[in-house]
Amino acid sequence: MILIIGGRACGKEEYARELTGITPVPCGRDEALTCPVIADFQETVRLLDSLQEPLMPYLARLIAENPDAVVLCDEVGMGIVPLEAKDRTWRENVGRACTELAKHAQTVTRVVCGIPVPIKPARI
Amino acid sequence: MGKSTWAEDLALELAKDGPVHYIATFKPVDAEDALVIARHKKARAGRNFAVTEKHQGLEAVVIPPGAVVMLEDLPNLLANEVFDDGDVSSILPGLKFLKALAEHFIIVTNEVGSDGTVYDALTGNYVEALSFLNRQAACLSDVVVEVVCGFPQMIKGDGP
Repeated sequence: MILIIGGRACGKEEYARELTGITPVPCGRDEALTCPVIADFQETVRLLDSLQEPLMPYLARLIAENPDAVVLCDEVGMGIVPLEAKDRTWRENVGRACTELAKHAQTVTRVVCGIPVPIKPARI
Repeated sequence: MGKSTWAEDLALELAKDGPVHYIATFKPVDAEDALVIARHKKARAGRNFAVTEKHQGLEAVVIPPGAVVMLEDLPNLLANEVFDDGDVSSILPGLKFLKALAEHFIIVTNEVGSDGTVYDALTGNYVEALSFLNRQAACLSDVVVEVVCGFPQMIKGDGP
């Protein structure tokens, strides 16, 4: 698995296309389990929230059934904690999802202004 | 974050004894904005900055060739072009014009797309437009630095 994170419109999709030759696709709950390059994973998490699907078991399935996936996800936690409970839960779950996927990913890259910055393996 | 202070110090260092040509893009509309400008002016006071106020249309800026130029900042410039009937497509040529003219050109900008908030269309479009502009500016640049708590993190290049 490869995880690519970054802010909105920071250049994740272009980077993933360059890396894989495949255009990333936004996925529903089931599509993500087979899709090679998943776009906007934060929206898949939003969908899981609305389906009240527990996050961690779903991620375990994703990692097991789609181990070679490239997952693109917006960083969403750098602002104010949202007022609405469901927005707080989503924001929290996107962070947990990224952390969990990052644990299993061979590489994690953060895209800043279109420039890929390696996160894992860590630069020391 | 400390990016403006860091950029100002860098610009002065690069300019050695010469002035830093500082392009101020912030367009004040109320008393609160005037205070922001006063604070910036105070921070620059006694230091070798030649300030040009330019809210739109960077290609009309008059700068001597070979100067050190600092643009403060891209988010304000974009807001002026978007919200004051300007021309967003003029920004990139403006940046290229200044880069070609200057010995060193420093662009100060902001990251605004990492808060997970879904905005109204006007704000959402602005967030995306700034992200695209940041990417274009990064392409033009030899060095990209993220300033975190006043400390520079090198994103592109080995350092100024």
